[in-house]
Amino acid sequence: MGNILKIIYDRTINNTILNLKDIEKILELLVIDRCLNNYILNIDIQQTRSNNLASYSSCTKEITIYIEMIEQMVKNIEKSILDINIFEIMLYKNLSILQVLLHEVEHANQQKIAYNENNLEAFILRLSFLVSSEYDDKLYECCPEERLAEIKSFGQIIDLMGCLNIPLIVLPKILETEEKMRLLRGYHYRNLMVNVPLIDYFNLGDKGEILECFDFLEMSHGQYSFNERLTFGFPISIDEYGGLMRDLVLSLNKNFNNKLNIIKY
Amino acid sequence: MTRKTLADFNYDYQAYADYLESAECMQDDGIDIYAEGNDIYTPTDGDWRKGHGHRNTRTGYDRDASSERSRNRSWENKWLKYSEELDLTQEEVMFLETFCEYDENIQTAELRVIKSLSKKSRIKK
Repeated sequence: MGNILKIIYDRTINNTILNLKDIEKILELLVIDRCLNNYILNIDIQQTRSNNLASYSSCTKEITIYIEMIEQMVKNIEKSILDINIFEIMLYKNLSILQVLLHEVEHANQQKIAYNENNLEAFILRLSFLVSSEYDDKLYECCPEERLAEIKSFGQIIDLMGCLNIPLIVLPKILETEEKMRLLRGYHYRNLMVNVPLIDYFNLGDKGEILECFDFLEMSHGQYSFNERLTFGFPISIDEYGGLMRDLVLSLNKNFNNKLNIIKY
Repeated sequence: MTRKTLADFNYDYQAYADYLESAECMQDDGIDIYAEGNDIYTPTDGDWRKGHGHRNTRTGYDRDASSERSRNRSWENKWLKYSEELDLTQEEVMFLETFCEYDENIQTAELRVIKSLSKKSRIKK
């Protein structure tokens, strides 16, 4: 990741955003670093409209980057963050673009993990692939592949920021907030209970029978830490949800503009 | 008209992004009808800049494109909407308020922030 860090740092110190050449270079470095030559065969940069920033197709083994959406994301960062200096906001913009790339590379990595590794993540991924990927907002929010790609890519961004060895004032808190947001994605308080994203995912995807493969008692009170349970979308207690959501809401309110919506049904 | 490019805005990303969000861009794309899920949108007098009608096939909501209420209705290109916002239901806000009140360690100022959320409401559905 050293070469990637250098690209990010050089761009940021020159107060510029990663360009298309940088994006291609970073993707190439990630493919080599993670031995994904068999899983990412092509990189396609498109201007055309899409609801996504980028996408990965396991069929064509291609990553597509939608450059207009990336530009929009960068613009939104400018609007949404409060009280941050020029260097940190530029670093945040470049790290956000990197996070989009890491997210898609993680989808390719999931194909590798699912069929080559013998662990809980591989098991969840393989079962997750059984649910039809037809787009649905609620399904997407709970989808283990999407949640894992977001959480892992933000974790990598935070690690990378730590390697920069530069005193940063606001950015660490911003990225921690972003990570909390991803960890809590899919969890909601409803009817005096906190739902379980993994259960919702298979139920919404009409694959409720898959849930019999999981030991939810073990997931709730067994060997998994709070962070692991959040990562895999396992059950969390009302107290755990309340504490983390409170921290998230307060942090969003302090550091961001218009990142909170109160929905009336 | 065809869609303008970044060069048309002298490589001003902000101006270009504003354009991409606008009804003008929708018009330049020559789109006659836009559908997303159960929502169907149509331009007023064939021009998105003049407003748009909206029909929802699930709820039955139907505002004709020629209706006065459709005229001058602002448009935001939905395909471009990128959001990483946190959506909280009112039930969740009330829960957080209660949760914070029972947490002895919570600072008064923090509780005030949570309570202020109850007052803000944005109708999404």
